[in-house]
Amino acid sequence: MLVLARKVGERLHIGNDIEVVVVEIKGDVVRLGIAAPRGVAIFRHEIYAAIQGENLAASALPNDLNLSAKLNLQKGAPNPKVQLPPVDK
Amino acid sequence: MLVASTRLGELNISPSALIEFSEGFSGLPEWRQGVLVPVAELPCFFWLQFVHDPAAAFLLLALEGVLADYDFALARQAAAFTPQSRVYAIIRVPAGDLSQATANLLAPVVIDDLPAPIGRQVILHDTNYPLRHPLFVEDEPC
Repeated sequence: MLVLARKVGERLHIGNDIEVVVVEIKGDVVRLGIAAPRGVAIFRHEIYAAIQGENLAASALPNDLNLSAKLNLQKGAPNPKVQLPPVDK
Repeated sequence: MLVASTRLGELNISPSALIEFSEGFSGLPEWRQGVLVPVAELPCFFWLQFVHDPAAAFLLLALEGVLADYDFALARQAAAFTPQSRVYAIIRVPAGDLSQATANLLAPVVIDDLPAPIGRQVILHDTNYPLRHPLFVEDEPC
């Protein structure tokens, strides 16, 4: 792994179209600004790892999952909707 | 073309219906080409069956149908897709127990049809959307 020392306000480039700037250092927290093309995904590691784990969990569905039985739907019901409680942003 | 599925049998689909997930999915990088199949009698649920492996499938919930307050614009923007693109949550069913099913609202799947079917899983940073949103709530005791 390449390790570089940078001061606040100093920048570094990854390839031709990604730029990273050290915005602020406060105690043990470093704030970074990253400018990258829209197609480049940038993730905090914790979130990335959580979503990876969730994808793997969701990929392990049993073969005999019987959806309509569990949802107790009446045949021909117009548009049975699952009720989700509201989500706070 | 024929797509084999352990849950749906053999699917005869038009090649133009294939959805390209050029980045794959986090943790599942080889899940790149899929087809969306509605779940019988459940208008908001879909199987996303992948082509490379008959057992590779996600259960998806079309969020437009069930969660009007969701920030669809943010999801479409994160995917860089058109306003016509559709937003789905991946459903997790722990141990096959549907009463415990949860929807991943933090990392939805966005699918667009133009110019050809493409899809992308996006992460909605800076929201408090949950990774595991319970799909079914217990009935209130009365």
